[in-house]
Amino acid sequence: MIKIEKLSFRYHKSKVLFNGLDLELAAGSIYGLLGKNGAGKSTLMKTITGLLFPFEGTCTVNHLQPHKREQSFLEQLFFIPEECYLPPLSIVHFLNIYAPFYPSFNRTEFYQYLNEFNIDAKADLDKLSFGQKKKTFIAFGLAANTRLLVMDEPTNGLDIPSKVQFRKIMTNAGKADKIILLSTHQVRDLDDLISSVIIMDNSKILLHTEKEQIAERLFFCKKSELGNETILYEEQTPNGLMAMCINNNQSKSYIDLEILFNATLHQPTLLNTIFNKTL
Amino acid sequence: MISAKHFILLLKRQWFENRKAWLIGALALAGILAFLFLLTWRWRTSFNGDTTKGIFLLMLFTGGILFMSTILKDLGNKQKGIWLLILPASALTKLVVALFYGIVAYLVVYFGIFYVVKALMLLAFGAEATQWASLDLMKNSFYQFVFVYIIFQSIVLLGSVYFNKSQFFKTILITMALFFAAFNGNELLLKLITGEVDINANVPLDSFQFAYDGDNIYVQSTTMMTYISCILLWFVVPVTLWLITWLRIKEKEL
Repeated sequence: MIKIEKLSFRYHKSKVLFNGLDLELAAGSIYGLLGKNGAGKSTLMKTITGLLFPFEGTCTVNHLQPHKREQSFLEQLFFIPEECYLPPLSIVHFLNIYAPFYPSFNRTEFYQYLNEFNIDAKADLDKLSFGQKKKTFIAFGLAANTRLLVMDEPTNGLDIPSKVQFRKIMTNAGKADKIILLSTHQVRDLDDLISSVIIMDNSKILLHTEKEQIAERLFFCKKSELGNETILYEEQTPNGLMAMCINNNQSKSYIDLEILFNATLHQPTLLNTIFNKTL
Repeated sequence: MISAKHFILLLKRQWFENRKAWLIGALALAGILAFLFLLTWRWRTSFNGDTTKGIFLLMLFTGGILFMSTILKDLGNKQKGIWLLILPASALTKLVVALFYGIVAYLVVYFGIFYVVKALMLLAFGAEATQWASLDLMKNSFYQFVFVYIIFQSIVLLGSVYFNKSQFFKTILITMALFFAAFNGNELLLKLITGEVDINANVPLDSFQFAYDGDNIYVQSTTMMTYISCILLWFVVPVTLWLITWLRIKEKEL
């Protein structure tokens, strides 16, 4: 479990982020951290992974403090940054050197993921393209089987077939004792994957709720298909005028994360009222 | 805590990721040593004193600090630094691996390269060179260079972790400034304490020399003082530098 209490972070004396942020993430879910560029997603992720230290407040991951970077914490963490580094080694050498650092690493799974990503397991890492390197890193991160997997903009740099492969692989990656935290500013890339949504803006969490709850309480469709429902938010899209309204009929609709995201930025208090939460 | 398993894994990691560059560096070092031997042999009558020791120390320190500055250089790069910081091993294990490569491994390999190059060069110079270029490490306490070497390597390692950019140049500049301040500050301090105006040489915590009635008078500190300063410089200073480096790795944010 990740527990963040009254967290503040500051880059400079004048720039304080989060300002007393509280957040709890339980195991068994895939969390989608959505926000515009500069919303504070990466800073939050780096605080959770122990790469940045809180200025005030606390952050614990499975009762361990990330900033201490204890071996027991690091063995259960895999972080995939937006631009990842892979050393100039062959994949075989890379595996032989780095896999033993992770007690639950599964080599069979690693080769399966590589196969699904169409990466040659005998290749040299420095000869791979940016996207191929990222896929190899993702394969390694998933095979590490850590209790916390954090991915910052995992689909950046992936071509369309690779994004499809990524979503397919990630569908089976969730486990009961595992927290997966993904961040993106391209919300459509991850909408099938995530089970819980966290929307951030200006280093504040505007909305944090389960997708199931969203489906229960909100309804998304074209405005032209609506009857007398009260529209909470509407937006012109290439598919027409899309609307978000209260789900009075308990019917399930496809959750349009992009509409939800824009609606939350537009009316955060209203959205939280709907989910019985306070900002 | 230091984990033996992670220590070995980190040794392997460092070797496999850098072996090509290190082998090229070793060849370059051998080439420079050969060139310096050739140079000093060719103009051997122009040099006073022991040129072999000079060559030995020059390349030990130049090569050593260049090598040490690269061991933890990844921490100065965001992507590489993140990978190193969250690699599951304690900061202490990471530091010990850096000290092992930067101090122990370099010294051992350097000795090997130096003696092999020296032997080959003397062979090439012929019988006349057999008495030339002797290097007795025990003569005149020459072995003490090891302690100075450890201090320099530790300073460079700390600099490579402490600064985020241009680590090597910043470390060298600051070290030079500190040495300048130490020697000049020591002279000022000695003038204040002794009242002598004409102090013409000094080594902090060791000795000084001043001119009196046209004679140079050399003053050596007491045996006890020398003993204490040796412990301070040979052990306390390096360990303190390692401690600061360890804390710096622990507190590194990226």
